[in-house]
Amino acid sequence: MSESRSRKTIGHNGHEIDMDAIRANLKLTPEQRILKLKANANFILNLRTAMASAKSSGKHR
Amino acid sequence: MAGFAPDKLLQQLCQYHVDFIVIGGVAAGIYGLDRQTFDLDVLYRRSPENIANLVAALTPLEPYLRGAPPGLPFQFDVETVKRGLNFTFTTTMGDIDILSDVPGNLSYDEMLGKSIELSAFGCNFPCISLEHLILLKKSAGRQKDLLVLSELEALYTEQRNPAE
Repeated sequence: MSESRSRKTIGHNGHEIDMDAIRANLKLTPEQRILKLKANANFILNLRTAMASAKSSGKHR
Repeated sequence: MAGFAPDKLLQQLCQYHVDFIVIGGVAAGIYGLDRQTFDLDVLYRRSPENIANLVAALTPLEPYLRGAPPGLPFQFDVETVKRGLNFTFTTTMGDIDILSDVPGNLSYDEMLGKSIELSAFGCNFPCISLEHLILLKKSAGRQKDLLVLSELEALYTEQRNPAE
């Protein structure tokens, strides 16, 4: 069951879908979408690296 | 850890005239899905010439088997790709999965007609159509695919009936 015009839509498997985020992405070009995907991925990867580094340095204290 | 540079990976493949189709998470992102992905999945043509081009394109990026312990005597060359089918690599431009076929045993040549031509970062390359990306996710049937599936279907509906 879904309400396609609401901000959050519930997919058929029960999880929330952020339709506003999807609609915002649809305004971008494919190239812009890839760059956004790249920026988001690298943000997370850098965060993971920083967390692993902090954990590692904590172990050696 | 190397960052993820799908734009550079795509340019690299194009520069070496590799026949490939973008599938997976980056394809979903190209259509507007707002979901994290950390690798570029491509379906490649299994012709000798294309395998040679693929090896030439990826060799400068120092590909290594993702998840394998460091120091294995892994050699990335034409013979290695010919002996295998699907590979998951880490590279200096980020992770890339190169696949010889997709669920249903569909090859590059069979999927090419189910793709759209994209132009980005100064090159042209095919990307699996949204309809067939949905079918692939249904076929794969993994939990992570099923989570993406409902988003892709919502996206498909939204593209056809955009909100005012």
